[in-house]
Amino acid sequence: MSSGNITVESAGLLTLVVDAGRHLSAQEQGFCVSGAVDIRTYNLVNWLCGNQHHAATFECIGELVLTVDAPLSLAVGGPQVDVWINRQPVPAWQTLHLKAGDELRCGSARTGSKCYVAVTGQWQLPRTQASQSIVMREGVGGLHNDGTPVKAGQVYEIKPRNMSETRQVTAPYIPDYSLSTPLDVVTGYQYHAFAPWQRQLFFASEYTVSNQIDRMGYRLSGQPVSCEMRTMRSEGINFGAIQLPPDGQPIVMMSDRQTLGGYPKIGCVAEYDIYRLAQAVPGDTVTFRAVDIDNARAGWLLRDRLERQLFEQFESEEI
Amino acid sequence: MEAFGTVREIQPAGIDGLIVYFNGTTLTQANQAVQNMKSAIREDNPVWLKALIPGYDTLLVLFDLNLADSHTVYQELRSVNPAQQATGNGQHHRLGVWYGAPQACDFDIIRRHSGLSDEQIIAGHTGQPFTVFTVGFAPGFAYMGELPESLHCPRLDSPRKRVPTGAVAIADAQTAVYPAASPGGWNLLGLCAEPLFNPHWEQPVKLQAGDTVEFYAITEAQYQERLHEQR
Repeated sequence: MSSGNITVESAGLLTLVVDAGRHLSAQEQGFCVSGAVDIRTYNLVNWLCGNQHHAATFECIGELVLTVDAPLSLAVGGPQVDVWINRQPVPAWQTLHLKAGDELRCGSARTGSKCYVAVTGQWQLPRTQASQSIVMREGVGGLHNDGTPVKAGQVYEIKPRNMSETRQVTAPYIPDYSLSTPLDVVTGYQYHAFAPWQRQLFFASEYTVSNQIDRMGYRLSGQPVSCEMRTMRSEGINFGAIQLPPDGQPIVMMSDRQTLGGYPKIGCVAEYDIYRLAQAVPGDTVTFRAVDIDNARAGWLLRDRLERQLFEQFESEEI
Repeated sequence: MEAFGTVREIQPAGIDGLIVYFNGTTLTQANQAVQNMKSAIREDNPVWLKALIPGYDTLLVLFDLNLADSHTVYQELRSVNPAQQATGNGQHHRLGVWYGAPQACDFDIIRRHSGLSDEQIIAGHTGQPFTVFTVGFAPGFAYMGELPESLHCPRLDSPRKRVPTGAVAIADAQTAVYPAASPGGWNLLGLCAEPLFNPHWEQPVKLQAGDTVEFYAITEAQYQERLHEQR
């Protein structure tokens, strides 16, 4: 099939190309994992487009405007997302079939939240460590493989696949982005080096999302929590790890986190809850709840089942 | 989870990770235990294994949540036999350094801390092979050690915004070469012309944990010549 071009007319506040990220073992060479910070929404929009789990998408903050020069199927998801085709409102969370010359516009009503735009087909972009994600800090990924974000005027070439059906993510499958319930935290790492009353303080306090949030880490502000351990050696950092530097203000490590770090950690935000924090904007407040690793895994298996059923149902239909 | 052998402590590190802390009378010994455990698990290659991220005296083991839980991983840690792994099978590298290169020179700071002369500083850095303890922070950044105690210098109070590519640096008991220009808070000794990282190489990172590195002094002319050869 011939290719289709997507022209970026406006890239909003910040738009990146992201996929599921690099293989985790790339961290052994010092590469960050990268990839979508809200992996849950990322997975769903790819399902809407009938894509494999690792397809590239746009991750955008602000209003993204695209035009296409060939028929292409797209899908948009995220918190409070508005979508327009040729200035007519259309639903988010469903497959959209665009004709040559159509314009797609999307953005979140919550300024700062991220929308994901998937396309049916293969993006013609270079790969680093098996990923097409842009990593600004490392200067890799993107049209020129130099880590610069998506810009207006750029043209992205897609090898499209035919997508005749229209899929929908129905209400029970749409992620609940609300922060009104605590984020589950798997206690661990230096948890025991925090005095019991310091741990209690952490789990009883409300933290505000600061404006220092990026793909590397989200800095929170509120009740300082201190660790009895003063010096430690750099060690591996998992997604969602909560570092407490000497100022006692938590930093939650996200997709572009460095592979090793030397601040004490009280635990990690559970993988199934990271998407909620990833979609938080400055001024939002969050609280944390301690869970143990086995209960967290049970929670992950349960919540993941819905999405796996969605994908499996699709895969069996294809046979 | 109970400690055993060279393992001092095991802690959860997220929903899909366990971090293992190792004992050792020296950092070199503890790091050897890390590398031994790492290669033993790698050899077993359990289906659930997603990544092994070594630190100095730690090993982060990441697993597939659909295929294992923390107990499965703990069983694996107990059952592998790291003691039987061969040691010292890393590569040996020799890296030429233009010591005192004006773009990367903190000799005055290092002199103040150590009381050593420039010649003694260079002798301390070139006199022995260093072990690569781990690679991390940025692609290809290899943490090496341990420096002779007389050369131990703390990190700068505030990190520089930009350290040039190839800068050779020391901090505390460690030494490293910046594979690419980046911010950095270590004390700089000079420049190394050898490329250490290229995302397009099949093996993008030259220095691997367990390798040994020996530094030797080169002149500015030799440095420029090597830089030129790579173009």
